[in-house]
Amino acid sequence: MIELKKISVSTPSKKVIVDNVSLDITPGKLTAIVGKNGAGKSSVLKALCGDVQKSSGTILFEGKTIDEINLGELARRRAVMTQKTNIEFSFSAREIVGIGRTPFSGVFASLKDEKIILKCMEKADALHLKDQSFTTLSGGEQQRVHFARALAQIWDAIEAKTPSYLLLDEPLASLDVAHQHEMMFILKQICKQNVGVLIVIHDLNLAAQYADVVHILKDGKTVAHGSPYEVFTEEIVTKAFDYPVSVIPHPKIQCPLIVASNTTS
Amino acid sequence: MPLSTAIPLILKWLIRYKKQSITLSVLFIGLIFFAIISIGTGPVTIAPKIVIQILASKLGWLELDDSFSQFSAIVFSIRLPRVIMAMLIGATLAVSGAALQGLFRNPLADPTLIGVSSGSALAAASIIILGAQLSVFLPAFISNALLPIASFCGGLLATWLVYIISTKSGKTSVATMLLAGIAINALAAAGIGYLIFTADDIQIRDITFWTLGSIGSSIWDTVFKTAPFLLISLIGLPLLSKHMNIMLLGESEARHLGVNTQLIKKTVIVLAALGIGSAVAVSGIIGFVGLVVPHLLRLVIGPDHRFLMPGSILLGALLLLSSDLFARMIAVPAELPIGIVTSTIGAPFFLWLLVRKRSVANYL
Repeated sequence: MIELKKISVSTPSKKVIVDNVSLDITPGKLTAIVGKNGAGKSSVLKALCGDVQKSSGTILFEGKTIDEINLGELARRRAVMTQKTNIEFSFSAREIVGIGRTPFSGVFASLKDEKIILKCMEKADALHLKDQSFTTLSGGEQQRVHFARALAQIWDAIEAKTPSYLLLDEPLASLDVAHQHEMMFILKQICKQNVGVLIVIHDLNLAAQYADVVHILKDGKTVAHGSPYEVFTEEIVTKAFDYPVSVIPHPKIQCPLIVASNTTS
Repeated sequence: MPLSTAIPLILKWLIRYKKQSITLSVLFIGLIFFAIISIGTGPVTIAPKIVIQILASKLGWLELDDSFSQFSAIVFSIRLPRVIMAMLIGATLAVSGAALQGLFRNPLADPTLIGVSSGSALAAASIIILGAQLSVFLPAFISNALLPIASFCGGLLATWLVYIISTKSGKTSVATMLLAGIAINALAAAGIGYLIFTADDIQIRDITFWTLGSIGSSIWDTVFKTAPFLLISLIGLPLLSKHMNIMLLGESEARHLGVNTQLIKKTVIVLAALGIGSAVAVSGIIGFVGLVVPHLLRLVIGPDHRFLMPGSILLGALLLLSSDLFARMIAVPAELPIGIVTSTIGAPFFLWLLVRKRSVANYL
């Protein structure tokens, strides 16, 4: 389990962007962070993986302070997919996914690594892109390749069902609706293999349909925290997003459905 | 591992990296071929066959009669040290260029463009002018090493300066990188200009010729004094290939993949500055090798550092060897400074790169 305890993050100009947020990432559960633009969603994730310095609070990785853990050891148990990665050099998609195997491999990927690379690309529906230059791919295709890379990184732990973690910062942003659901479905599947998934996500209905735990942030503070049914109420969502919504039961699936209900437009 | 399982594995590897293995092999053969031609070329022409025989006899593989002793002397005291120096310097400049491009995560980071070479040059020129006075007080072994050490420090300072100016939280602004390079180049030019202003006539000729780049004065003594420094970079930088591949994804991404990014960055800066600094100390500014070589290779074998670094060593050596041959041949009996040759190839190449990317804005 990864535990965030009372994390705060401030900008260099002392503006508080994350204020006293606590949350757990439990293997086997899909946790979603939602909130308005600028609510501090990505900052929580960045503080969690050490990309920004937290101003206070502690992060425990299976009981140990995360800074005490060796980077290589951490890399074999936790993969991060960041929002945007600019690559100036024309690696093929397969080489990019191959870089996900580097915490395990020597200078060159072993045959086992090669198999895992192709398997993860297939899972992320990126296998047909394998020989294309990464820089020429569309935004959505690049995201799928990065997703495959993140999967490849913790694949050993996934197969062995040892607890591992996958942190994703808006991985669905450039994906079409079919690929969005496909990726959420895969995340849900790997959760069952003892993976704790944390996803920063904009689409409330995707969160409602797939997440086990939802964390709503506003102005860096936690507004609500719990199962989709607990947090996705008209009152909480309207308050968190400053926009009127209605919550109705999904016609086919057991989950709440959030629709905008601004009657003045 | 038994041979029966090793051979299929090696074959599989060769098929997987077909393009890369073929390119590196061709470069290797081409380099040896060119080196022999280059040793044989000059005021006294020596046939390739005889060059091979002379080299073989020195290695004790072949008995050679005395009629070749004159050729043998030319090969050993004049041609060979120069050819070795050209190869070492070309290889070091190219591999350092490739490493800097990996560090800045951008293919435009060239040691001459971003001011690393001129930083080294300014420091080295100061030693050339002021060293004579200093050497009175210093023991000989220190004053001998003063030039490469100063050159290394100048290069290190320039690299570090450009890096901290252009890079914030792991992201390099290419515009800032190139502009910082312009500023450092201008500053170094002003410094060298001042040194020339204060220098006497012989020093002026030394410095001017040296800033144009030349390996004409290479003798065994220069090779033995410089090679150890060059070899540290030549061997050290390719060892970081795997980590530099990961760093190309971005600094945070590399850290998430278990790379100690701070350590890798510092090592690359120090090794690249050491390579460029020692090269500048012995041969002056030989521009654009670090830009042209890695770029041509990327077009053929892709950006993977595991092949790009050894490839840069081979192609860099080959490029400088052929440039030196050209510089020796074009204005016989005089010699063209080799820096003029490489810049004549390199600067239009840089322009072509900009045009190919359509606008500089793509890099910002």
